[in-house]
Amino acid sequence: MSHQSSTHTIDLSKTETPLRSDYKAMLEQMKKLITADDFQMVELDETISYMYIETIANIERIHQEVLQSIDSFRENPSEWKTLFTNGNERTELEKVMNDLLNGHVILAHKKMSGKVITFSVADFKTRAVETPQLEKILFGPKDSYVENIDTNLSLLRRNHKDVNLTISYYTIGERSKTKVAVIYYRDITNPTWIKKIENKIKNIHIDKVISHKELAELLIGRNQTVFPLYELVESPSRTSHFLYTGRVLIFIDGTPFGAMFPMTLLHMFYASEYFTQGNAIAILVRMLRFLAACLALLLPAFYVALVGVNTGVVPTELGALIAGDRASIPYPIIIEIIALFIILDIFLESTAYVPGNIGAALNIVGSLVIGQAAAEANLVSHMSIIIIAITAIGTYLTLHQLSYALRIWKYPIAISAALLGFFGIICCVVVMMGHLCHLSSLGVPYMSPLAPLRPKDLFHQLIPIKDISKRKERSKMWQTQDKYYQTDDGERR
Amino acid sequence: MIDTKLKISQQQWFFILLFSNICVTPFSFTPMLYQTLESSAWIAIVLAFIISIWNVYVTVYLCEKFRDENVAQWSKKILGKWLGTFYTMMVILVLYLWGILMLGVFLELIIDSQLPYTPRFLILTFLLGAIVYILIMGLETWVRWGELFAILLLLILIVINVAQLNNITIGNLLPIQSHLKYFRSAEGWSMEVFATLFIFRGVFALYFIYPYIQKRKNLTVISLSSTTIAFIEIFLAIVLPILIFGHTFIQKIAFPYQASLETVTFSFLPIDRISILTSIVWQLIIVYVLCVSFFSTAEGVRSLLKLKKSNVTLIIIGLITFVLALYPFEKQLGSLLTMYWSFAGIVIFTIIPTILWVILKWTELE
Repeated sequence: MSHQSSTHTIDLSKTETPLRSDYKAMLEQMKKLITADDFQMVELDETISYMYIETIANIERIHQEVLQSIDSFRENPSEWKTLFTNGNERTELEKVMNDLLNGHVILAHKKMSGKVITFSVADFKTRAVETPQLEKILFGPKDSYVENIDTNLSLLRRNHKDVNLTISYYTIGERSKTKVAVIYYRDITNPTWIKKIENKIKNIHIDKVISHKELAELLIGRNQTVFPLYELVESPSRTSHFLYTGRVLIFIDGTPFGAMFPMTLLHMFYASEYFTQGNAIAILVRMLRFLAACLALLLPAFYVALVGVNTGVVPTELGALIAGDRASIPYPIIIEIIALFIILDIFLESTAYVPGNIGAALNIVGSLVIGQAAAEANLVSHMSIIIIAITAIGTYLTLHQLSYALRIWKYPIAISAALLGFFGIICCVVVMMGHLCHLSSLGVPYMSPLAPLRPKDLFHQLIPIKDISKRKERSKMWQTQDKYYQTDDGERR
Repeated sequence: MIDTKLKISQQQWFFILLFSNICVTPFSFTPMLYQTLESSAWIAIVLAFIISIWNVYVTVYLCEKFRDENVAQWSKKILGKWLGTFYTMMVILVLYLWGILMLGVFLELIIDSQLPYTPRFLILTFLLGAIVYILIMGLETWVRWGELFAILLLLILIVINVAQLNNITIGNLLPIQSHLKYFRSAEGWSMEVFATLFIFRGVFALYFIYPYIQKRKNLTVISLSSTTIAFIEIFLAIVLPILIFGHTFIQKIAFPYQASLETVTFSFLPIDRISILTSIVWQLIIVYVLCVSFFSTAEGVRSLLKLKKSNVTLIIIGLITFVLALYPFEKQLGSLLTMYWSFAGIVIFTIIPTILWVILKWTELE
């Protein structure tokens, strides 16, 4: 069907247009507005009609809930409250259209002058709840968020049966009308954050917000860093842990992740096992993740510095070993390492984004080519391959969001090492740390509790107390209202 | 003029002061002291520490009198517009020269120990680029940066000093009473030694940083504790080479502390010598010193010229420093500059503040 309509933008939010009082005119009014072929308007007879969008409405429910009561509605339209218990009466065009685009069915009756009844029969197609793809959990709950915001809230609610949990809905995007939920504990979370988020959301007048990236930029400003300023979470149990510490969660309908605000660098070293295993294991996992990130970032640069510039500090045996390994390589160490970096990054991108089994096949081809053939052809040294392999493993042992930052920063650090050895590495690290110290998320310094140094918070984050019953206070870093996890007498303060 | 939103903690000030007090003193003044005082060089450091206690007291006192103002503002109130401006310019100049001279010492060290064949401009570009970058990010950023590395630096300093204890010979410092002989004669009180007595310069950054410090309740105690730890490090940097090499040998070494570190080996690590670790330490410490020096200079210029932001000033300071440091001073000129700078510092930061302290105390009494 072709739609003849004007091309100028219709913005109902500015007009507060009432529904026409004449039944026929009202139907025409709605028909003119929607130029989509999945919009269905069924005129049962001269007095009654109903409308819905067939791609988002459940037709079976329409048959069951609307058509079975339609005769009674025809006779007594004023009795609609008893016939359609979930129904709402609407008199404004904007609200009717909003309901329609959210999967409601609209019932119109000739006798209801300038009014319609709407109720939800929404059936947005979504996936079933599956296991997390990025946050692998061995001994914890295996559910993860999906694209449906209501399902996500339902998953979250399981761990939160407190009336203080606040869920505020917002509709963001002038055209996308995306449903967004801001979730926090009203008696724990720092109220200035909530105020900040709410004020920002109220001032958003953009066409669409359909991803966390867009919303985060609108909330916390221009994104000029490769380090993540909010944490994407996909496991409800992990999310719950964070909510209880006083952080804020934001869900966007259509996105299978929640965004946790604020974010600090140290949070990226929390593995899911941190919440499910004993403290000793949690510490070990965390230290391993931290070490892996350091290795991914600095090991190639250290190798370049030792081989290319600061050769005097290498022990004789190790020096002889490296020299023997590199004897037949026809180019400088930095060229070798940068070439391997580029190949590694192409390799990682290809295995991450190619479909299905091709990724695994690429994996085998890549490792064979780089690992064996290149070394045998004297194009790269064995030591460099070991270094690059450790870098690749280290990059992905931390939170996935951090991996890109590690991958990008390793280039300037390695180049600095090639030019100025350890001196160059330190200069580059100084700049990187300066950049990290400058970042903040919702006003919380990104490097806290390291800088500004809060020894108690740092100690709790790195080494959890043996006995959970002895942990009374919440982290001061989040400036929470309720300062205590638990009290001696069970009374809230 | 002072941005009241910017705040730093007393803890952050503690770390800034600590490392800017340690500075590159273990390399800059020690060879000179060994030449003049031989194994008694450590006494000069003890005297310097005693003088620094007075400096800390007077500096904190003056800053506390004018809580939300920097020296450019309060000096005009006490000395009048022209004299106050002149005094501020002198303060800025001495603090800036401090940075330049220490940078010169550090460059010699890094070129000598790590990068003998690397062009000087490349080293300067990287180092000054990094420093100007973190300074432009703002006061809160660079003090956080300082805090971030502070614990690590302290740990490394402990490790490198403790590791040397294995190689010491206590006899090199005995008998203790013989060390006083230099100070009994005029020979011991040479100009160089006199200049050394004012090496703890970090506290003077308070003239510009004080308005930004929140909760200044124990500032004197905190500043004194920080200076004391710095004193211990510098004391060890003087004493350990004597204990390891003996006074006759250390006079022949360009960087005795670095040389004493070379005596420690870690054959089981991929890095053979501990000295590489210390180069990293001094590199980080010079970043602290230059941050303090450049920040003070930029703040002073901003206050004098009534500028809103100091980003352009910082870039200009970086460029001037680059040009000045590109061509190394002759050794004699360097020593001469260091000495004149030290004496200027004594007048600007010890004598004049003491007079101001007397004036303010007198006014209080009246």
